Amino acid sequence: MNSDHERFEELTAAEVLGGLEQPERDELDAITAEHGPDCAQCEEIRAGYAETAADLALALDPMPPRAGAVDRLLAEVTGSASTGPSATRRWRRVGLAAAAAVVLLVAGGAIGYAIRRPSGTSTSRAIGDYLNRPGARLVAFQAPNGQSLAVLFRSGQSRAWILGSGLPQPTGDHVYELWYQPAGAQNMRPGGTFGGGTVTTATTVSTPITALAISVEPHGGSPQPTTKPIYVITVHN
Amino acid sequence: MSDLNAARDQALLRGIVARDPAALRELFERYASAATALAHRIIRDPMLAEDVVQEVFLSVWERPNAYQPDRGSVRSFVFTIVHNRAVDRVRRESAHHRHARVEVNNDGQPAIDDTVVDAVYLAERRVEVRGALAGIPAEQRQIIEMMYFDGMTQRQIAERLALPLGTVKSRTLLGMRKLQAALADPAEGRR
Repeated sequence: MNSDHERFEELTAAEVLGGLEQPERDELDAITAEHGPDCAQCEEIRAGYAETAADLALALDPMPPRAGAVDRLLAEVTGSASTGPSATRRWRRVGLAAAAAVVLLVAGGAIGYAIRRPSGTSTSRAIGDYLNRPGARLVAFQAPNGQSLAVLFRSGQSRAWILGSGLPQPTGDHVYELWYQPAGAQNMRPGGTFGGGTVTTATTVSTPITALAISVEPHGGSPQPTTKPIYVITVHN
Repeated sequence: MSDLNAARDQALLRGIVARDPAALRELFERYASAATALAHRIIRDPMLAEDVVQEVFLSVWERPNAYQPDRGSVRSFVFTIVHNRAVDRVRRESAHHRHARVEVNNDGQPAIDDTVVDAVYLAERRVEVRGALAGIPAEQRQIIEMMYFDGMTQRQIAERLALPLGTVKSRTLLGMRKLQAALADPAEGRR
């Protein structure tokens, strides 16, 4: 091995492990370019270490994905094959700002504000990441002018977000509580509590969801609705 | 990996190029458990790990021609994408935020059907890899694991372990050379 390939090997062994920083990656790129795409020795070194690194994944105990993961994946790809990119898939291809703009259209304006307002915060990044994932859905309630309220969730994922703006504060020692009905379930389940104003509340749900509702509940929330819901919406799957 | 398994993987990639969802299903069933374990080890969040794995297989479906046979096996191709995406994810997070996102997967149920292929197909290689890792010096193994599983760069590891950067680099190369040799001849790794 000549000295160029010794350096190439040293850098490649670290690169496949994710251990290089930008200046060294640039150096590796420069050596690669200098040797050209047909350098058999570079190819052999790169492929060999890539295999070694990938093998490391097998040192871990396997962690099966949740039941239905493969079906969700196939639903995604077959849906895209038959109908072209869905709105959600288009969101994934654009950045946070554009994704928020889509939400703006969907929710009539105010939800977009709720997402964009904390721009640069970990919350906005998390929501932006979420929006960019396959299967993300935003279901908006019909709120009065100046108010908006929606639930952002993904089929097959338990993480969800409650997003809102302009919501009046519940009176007394009360909060809003989200309710959701998983497919096949007889009753609504509690999906998290939140207050008025601008809302970006992370929560957990079970999907698929067939209905969503909001009620006003005593502080801390309730295991079952104790008041008539102020919003109810059916979710079509 | 065995020629038979490698050939099957290549056939699955060709099936994906031909837009056959059954090929994607089989590839997923082969590698999803190991891929999820890798993503979870790096990200330490089961839901985000699953997201990464879903995204990776979706990207394989959308861009199967990104795989170049002369750059390694299909398995290596898949795990490399998983690793890169998981590392990218954690590097965007502050340490505080990352730990705050560790959650219990409330509705998680073991996907027994998805584990069968993995159990049969990868179990033997798993033993070989663990043997090879155990066979290299601890100080080299530590650095390789910090890099691959914790998403740390060589410079960060040097700082964390209070070692000269050159020492970290040399241990990386020596460790990877030994691992590669041991995995090429797994009996070596078990000695």
